[in-house]
Amino acid sequence: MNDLKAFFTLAGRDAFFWLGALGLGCVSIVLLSINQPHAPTAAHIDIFILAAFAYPALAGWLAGALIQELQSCTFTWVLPGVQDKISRGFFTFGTVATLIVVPLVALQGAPYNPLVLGALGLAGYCLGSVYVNPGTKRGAWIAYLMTVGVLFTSKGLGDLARSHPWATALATLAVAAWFSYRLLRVSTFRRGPFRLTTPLPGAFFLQRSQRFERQKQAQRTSTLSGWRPDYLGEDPWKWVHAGAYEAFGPLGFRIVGKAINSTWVLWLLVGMHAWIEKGDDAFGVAFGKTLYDVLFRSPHVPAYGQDGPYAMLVIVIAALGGVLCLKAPLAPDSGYLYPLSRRSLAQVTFRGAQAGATLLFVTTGLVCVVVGLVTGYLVGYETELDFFPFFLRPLMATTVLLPLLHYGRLRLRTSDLRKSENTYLYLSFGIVGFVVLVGLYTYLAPLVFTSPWDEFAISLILLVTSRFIYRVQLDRYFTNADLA
Amino acid sequence: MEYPIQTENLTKRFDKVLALDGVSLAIRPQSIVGLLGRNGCGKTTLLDHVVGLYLPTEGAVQTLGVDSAALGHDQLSSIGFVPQEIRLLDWMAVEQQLRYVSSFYPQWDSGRQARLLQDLDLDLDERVGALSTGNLQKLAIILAVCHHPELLILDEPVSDLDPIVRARLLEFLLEVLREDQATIVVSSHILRDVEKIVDWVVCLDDGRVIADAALDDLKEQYSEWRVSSVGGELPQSFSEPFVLEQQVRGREGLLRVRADRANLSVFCVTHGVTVETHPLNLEQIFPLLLERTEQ
Repeated sequence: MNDLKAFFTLAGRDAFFWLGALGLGCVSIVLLSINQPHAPTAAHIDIFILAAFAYPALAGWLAGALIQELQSCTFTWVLPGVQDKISRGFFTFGTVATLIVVPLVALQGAPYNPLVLGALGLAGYCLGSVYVNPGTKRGAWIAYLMTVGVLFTSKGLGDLARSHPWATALATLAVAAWFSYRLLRVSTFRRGPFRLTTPLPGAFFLQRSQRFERQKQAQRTSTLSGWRPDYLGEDPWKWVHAGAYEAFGPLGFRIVGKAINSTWVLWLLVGMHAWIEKGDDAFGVAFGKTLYDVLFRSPHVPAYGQDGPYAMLVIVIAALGGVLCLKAPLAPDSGYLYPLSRRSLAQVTFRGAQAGATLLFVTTGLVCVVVGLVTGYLVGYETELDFFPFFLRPLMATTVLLPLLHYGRLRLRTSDLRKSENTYLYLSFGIVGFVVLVGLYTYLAPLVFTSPWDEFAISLILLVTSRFIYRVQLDRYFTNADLA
Repeated sequence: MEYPIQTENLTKRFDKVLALDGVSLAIRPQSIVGLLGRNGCGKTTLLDHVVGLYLPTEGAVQTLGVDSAALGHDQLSSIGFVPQEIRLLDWMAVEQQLRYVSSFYPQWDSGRQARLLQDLDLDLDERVGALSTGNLQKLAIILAVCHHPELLILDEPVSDLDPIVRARLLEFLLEVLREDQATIVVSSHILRDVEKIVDWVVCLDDGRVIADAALDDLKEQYSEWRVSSVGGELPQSFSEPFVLEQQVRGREGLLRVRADRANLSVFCVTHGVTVETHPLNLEQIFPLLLERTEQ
């Protein structure tokens, strides 16, 4: 075989193209938002270094996922010469990606030797290739930490690239060589199942979630602390509770620990930013200021009618709603619901969606209020609660629009699309579309409504109406649809 | 190369579990070997060692004359492997998957591929991810045999196939043996099928080899005796060590034995009985082999 074909045949599929387009959009949005003069991170980030690193890293992420998918297939384990052929394709793709990105960055006026940018691009490419690779777990962690390092030290890295271009290039190439070795060595073959589209919901946590599934299964069957279908009868709320158990495991205060545990990278980023930017302030003050400013802008800006919240806050809240709806809906799998009547199924689904929306509204609202008050106190801002609109508007918009996503998810589960290899792709496009809608609602609201009370009243009416329509559609769906 | 597969005191330990315990085997060239054993007895682990997927904790494995951990391009080009868990690229069509794999083998036989596709009734345009388990197994077998492997390793290759396809496939394996003069190792639970094609049997239990013999020899050793008394009633049970199972009622008895002709003559004279001998099939021999180890 033409050696390059072994790799590029894998890249010739729809999912690769769409994931690439989606990733390209996301990376560009992040880079653009970082590059805004008022962004709190602008001071210590070199956008040229970051761009030369981030786009190849995205290409590496895609290439790594393709290779990981191939490596996990049992038919490749005895294919003669597969490693060599795949490696050649992998490096060719990385070189091409770097050769496209580096001249573009250089044309924007990057004050660096293109060779250094090229080496950085290749390092980004190789580093990105192990991001979502469960076969190289330790490598993935190191890659994440190094990416965070590049993000926060890009200015310093830039200075180094100017003063010692050759040493910087050599060091970054060594990093590239190490990560590519981790990806392509024989022992990364023969791992568990993996698909290109799996990385979207976070393949890195694949093994963890599989362990969680096993634990749930054990608890379901062995003790009364879980749930069993025969205990539940037909009370829809009990099924909703069972759904919550399915989504989050045993409920209780431990769930708070789990939530903190799964967002530690975010806290680490904020902490690092605060440390670098603290100047003469105490770390606590810098930390509070960072968090407050990132979430709610500076204190006491005219809250209504002028500046909206940061786009990032809108994206995070809307995406959180989307992910909760699509990945952790408060209704058990249809297999468990099988004995229920169609009418009961509609009820359970509806109530589960409402419970999920309430959970999202209350917990997100509570977290925002607590963070706002505590960080405001740490920094010494007066407590005027004027940060409320910054999170309330996107949160309200998310809650109003959630039934759209719930209904889409339901249709996807029973349509032909679920059999497609691109299921996760549709889901991610669903989330992106949802985020756009929430953004539109959030930013258009101040232009349409003349007072907060008008906005509140109309939002409430929309909230009730969207639920009513959702309920009617559910009844119709569960009356007519094939549920298998 | 004397033996395509040779293991010497092969031991594999997964943490506290001893999966293989001092397995020593020498598979003769151009033979069809049936690898038998209960679930979890170490069949798949042994085969994974043979193709170099696992490394021995102790001992050695030679495949096609090379340490299996160091199998190179040349050896891998001569091996066909159908793993127990078949994972292919879901998003490809059957035709794409075949084209992809075939491109790694210069000696790929398109004629054999076409014939097998027709015989096994596989649709080229169907997506691999949408194939039934049986069809997936068919595709995996086609992928493993079209490059004329010198050594063909099949780990439970027919478990999900219907009887008609199973029969066709087994016939085909015999054809492969004739055409390619390949050595074939097949592990299977469906002993009736295996019996039709294998000439050698390796039986594993708890990671140890409990039988390694020609099928014909096993059939000669193990047989069923219908015993009839010439005089009075038969004893309640026979105590000869070669009697493995027995049902005795009055003047008639049904014994399963591991015995030769000499044992038979002595038995008839000692107990004053006539014996009608019947051969056992592999399905009947297999539990006797296991029982013997348990004793």
